[in-house]
Amino acid sequence: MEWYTGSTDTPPQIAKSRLIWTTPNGSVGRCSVRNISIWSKRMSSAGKTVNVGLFLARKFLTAASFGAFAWASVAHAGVSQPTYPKSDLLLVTTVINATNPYMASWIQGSKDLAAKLGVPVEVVQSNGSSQTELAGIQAQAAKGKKIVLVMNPVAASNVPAVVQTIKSNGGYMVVWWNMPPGTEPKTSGDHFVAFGTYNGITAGECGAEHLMEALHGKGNIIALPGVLDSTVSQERYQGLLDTLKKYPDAKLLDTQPANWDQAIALRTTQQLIAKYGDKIDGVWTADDAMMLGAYQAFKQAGRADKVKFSGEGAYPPVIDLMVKKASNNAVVASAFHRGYMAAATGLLIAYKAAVGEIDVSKLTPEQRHGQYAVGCVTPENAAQYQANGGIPPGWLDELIKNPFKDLVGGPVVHTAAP
Amino acid sequence: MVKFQWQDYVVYLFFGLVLVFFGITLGNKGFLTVENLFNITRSTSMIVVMAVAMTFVICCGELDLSVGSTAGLAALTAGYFLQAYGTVAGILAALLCGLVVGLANGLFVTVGNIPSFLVTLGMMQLVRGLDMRVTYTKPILITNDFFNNVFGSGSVGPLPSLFIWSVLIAVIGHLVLRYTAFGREVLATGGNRTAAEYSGVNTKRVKLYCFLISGAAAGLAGMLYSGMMQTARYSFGTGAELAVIAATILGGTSLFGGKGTIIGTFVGALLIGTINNGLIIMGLDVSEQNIIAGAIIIIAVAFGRKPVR
Repeated sequence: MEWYTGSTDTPPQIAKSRLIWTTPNGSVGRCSVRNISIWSKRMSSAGKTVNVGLFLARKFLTAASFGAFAWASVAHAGVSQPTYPKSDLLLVTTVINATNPYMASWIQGSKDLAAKLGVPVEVVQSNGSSQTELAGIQAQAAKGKKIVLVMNPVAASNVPAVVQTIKSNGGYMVVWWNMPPGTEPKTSGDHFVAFGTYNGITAGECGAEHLMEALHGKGNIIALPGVLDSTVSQERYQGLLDTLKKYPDAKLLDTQPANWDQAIALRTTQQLIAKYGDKIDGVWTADDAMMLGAYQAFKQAGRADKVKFSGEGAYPPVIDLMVKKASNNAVVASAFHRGYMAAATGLLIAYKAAVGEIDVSKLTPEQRHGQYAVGCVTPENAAQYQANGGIPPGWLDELIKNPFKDLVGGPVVHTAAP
Repeated sequence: MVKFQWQDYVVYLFFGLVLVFFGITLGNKGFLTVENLFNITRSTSMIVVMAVAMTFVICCGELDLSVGSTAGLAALTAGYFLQAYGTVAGILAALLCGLVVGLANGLFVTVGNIPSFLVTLGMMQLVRGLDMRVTYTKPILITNDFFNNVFGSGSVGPLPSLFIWSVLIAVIGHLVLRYTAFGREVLATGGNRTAAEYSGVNTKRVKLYCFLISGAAAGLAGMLYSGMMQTARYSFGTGAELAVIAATILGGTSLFGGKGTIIGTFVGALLIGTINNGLIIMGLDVSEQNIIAGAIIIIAVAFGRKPVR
């Protein structure tokens, strides 16, 4: 290309050619020279002298500076996805409410991590409504910052709409616990960085194994899973079924979903006590809230000391029951994980993608869809889980060094709907 | 000459005040961005669609508490038929589903002479149970991009499709209620049923039509829910009936029938949506949001009451 400086009588004729350059992240800069031709014609009609060389130089410098900026940000980060300075970020964490102990722990984990990172955090409460959850995330996205989201979805089916919102915003997200079949981070693009969960089968087996041990491998049990539309509940229930196969003298009398709700679990258990009476020897539940409801029902019936219970989540009141060996050591096990750990881990993975500390395209399949370590609390080791909600000292600092430190495997398979 | 009564315009006054308040206090937090204002219209569009129909129902002196659960059933129906038979079948099935529920409500009220409050309360429970039963509470993912774009996730230029639907339905509702014989019959039926019948209005037919409109609107709202969320779930529309009735009453519609405007209803729905959006951006938790939103609605309705002479 040559510099052109001419009069209005001879406008440049370089129509439809373009200057194009590519940055290391694949973004393309363009400067249409066709526009210059049109522009110079307009100037011609105005009777002005056109300095096309100067115009081209200005255009080129402007475009080059944009390109250089994009290149510099990517080159600095050394990753393939768009990245941002942390001053452009807003951490967002979603919960159903702020009062449930698990959710409170989730919020605390998000806030502690945000304080360590020096980035503001907002809590979106859904109140159990899919629409409220989406509206809350959209409201945060409208604040003009790039969203770094960890989502504990009301329902697995909420995820696609939220992924679309985050993609539009340019932010990054990690989903924990529930994801609809057919949706995968790897096929949803870099903005949906990862899905994490605690292995529900392992968690279900923790309760079931100790329940069977306490019952000497025989007896009748009832099971209270969570809501049916929950892969987590299905996994835990599968853990129960897998365990029962090893104990032919044990019988699953009845299975009634209690929707993760202590009050529903209380009511359902009362009905099952009325139906089966003294036949019930053990209660397996997919969550400690439901276990506490079932425990209460048997206490009211005066039979808590004759039945064994297992739960999931190692809620502080449940750990207390185990430490105290209440009602003849009625509570035999509960799988351990914390909302604190899930929220901090998920938020940190999304944050590191946003600032370029991890390259999403280079994450392993397990890192993009993985399961994280689950503990098993029993009366023997319960005391060590009482302090600090069971979170080991220095856990968050270790996490910041390696957000995948608790990752133990890829997707959980073989789930069963009750 | 019609005397000016400021109480008729209280919803507009409150809407303006709420916008100004949030604009000043949350202006630097993105409240006034175009994206956020569209967020408000997105989240209220289903309420607007159902509230427009509810205005007809309340204006004729009845109530429909089943709209939320009907929307949930319509969403599931749309999801199932979309998967099995394609786009047109999904849309028609959802609308038909709403019409069937509306017809049942209307027949029980007009032929069975059962109060609409009781009929639709029972229908709300029945349909919600049906929602849960037919799916075992499992969601139906909707991967039909055309449907999702038209009914929720898409946009025309800068305008979200949800916003377009809500404006379209509001305009149609306004024209029908204000400028057609049927609209006048609805208001006459709710204002004074005996006088309307003496004037030749078939009030039972009018009420039946109003329930059909309400059912069809709930069917459309169900499609909007599922298009927005790209899925159908039994819980869609849970509690929406209260927001719909609140928007209608806030908009100046008389709970006893005979009086109401669609524009008022539209602004009433936007007022509720704006309050919810502003409180979310303020960072209040759900309990605080409920307290403040409830208080604002009570105050707005109290201001809108005309003095009893």
